[in-house]
Amino acid sequence: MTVPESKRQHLRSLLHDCGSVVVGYSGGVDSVFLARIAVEVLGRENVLAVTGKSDSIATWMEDTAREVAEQFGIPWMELETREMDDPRYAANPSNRCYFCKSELWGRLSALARERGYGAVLDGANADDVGDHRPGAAAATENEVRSPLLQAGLTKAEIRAWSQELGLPTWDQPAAPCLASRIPYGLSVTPERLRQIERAEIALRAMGFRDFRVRHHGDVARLEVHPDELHRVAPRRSAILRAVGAAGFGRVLIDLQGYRRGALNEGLATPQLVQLGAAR
Amino acid sequence: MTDGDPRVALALAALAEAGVPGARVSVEGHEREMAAVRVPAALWERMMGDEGARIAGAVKAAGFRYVALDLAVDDDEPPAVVG
Repeated sequence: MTVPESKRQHLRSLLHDCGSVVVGYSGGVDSVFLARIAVEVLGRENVLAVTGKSDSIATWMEDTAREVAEQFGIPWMELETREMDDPRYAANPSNRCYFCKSELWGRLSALARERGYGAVLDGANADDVGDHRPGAAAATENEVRSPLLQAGLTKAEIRAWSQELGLPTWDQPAAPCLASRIPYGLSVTPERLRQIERAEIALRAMGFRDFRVRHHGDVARLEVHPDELHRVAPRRSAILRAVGAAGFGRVLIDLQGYRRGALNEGLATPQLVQLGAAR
Repeated sequence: MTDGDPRVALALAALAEAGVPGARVSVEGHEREMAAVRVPAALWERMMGDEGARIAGAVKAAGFRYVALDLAVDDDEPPAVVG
């Protein structure tokens, strides 16, 4: 995979035009890459990467965010967000992400204004167009810019460029927030998020990389990437014990394996909010 | 409640047709959207991978959004639930 020079130049130009930026920095592939390039183009003094801290963010993601920022000289801070206090978020409607992102982008926009940064950036990319992305509306409302998307960079290109730069996140699986494991309509609670995180930590310790623990009340439904499904049978009893110990009475494994956006499968078309339509 | 759900009989028929005898099916999920399948221990490993995905497709046709296999088999102790 080679990244076209035209896209590289376009991204650098977009960042240059911002002058100074606050980057919404989750510790995932896209935001780490964006913050790293922003530092390269604008200099450390003109970049602040900010990680929203809440119960819905896995501890290991916070750790990754912090460690990469330290390693690559990216100015970084955490900012506590309070989406859990919003009953509209906790009720877990199909546009839950809108309420979370409204809180996040609202806080980051206020921070940028207070400290005199020219723009707030997110890590949306060209492959995100067409996904169910209700949070994109909140980004638009807060005038958040998406330079990776504007430059037409795909996920594969971002991974390739990240590898060139030596970023440890280059091959990191996608890692949305823990609330994304709870089916719409089942409320998001700190206890449920802790159960999910505990179960996922246990599975990661067993060597699984690309998977989700979906929370269905008393039931955990594990989605493991098809390439890793063959590793489940020899560990069946250990998985059962570990996930059960996270507080689930029944542990199931999805026979079709992990697929992106599985919890959106039950949504009717009018409920889907797509990034391309939101911007 | 699983009793009386007509999808269970359809799911069991699909499993039998796929060569999975002795399975049990219950309905789970807050929207009753999931078929939870329990199979004898000897058949468990066979369900992982392409064949399991094909079987899931047949069971889904009974009206489920998800088809998932119980990690417990009949010889297991129930998982220890910690609050």
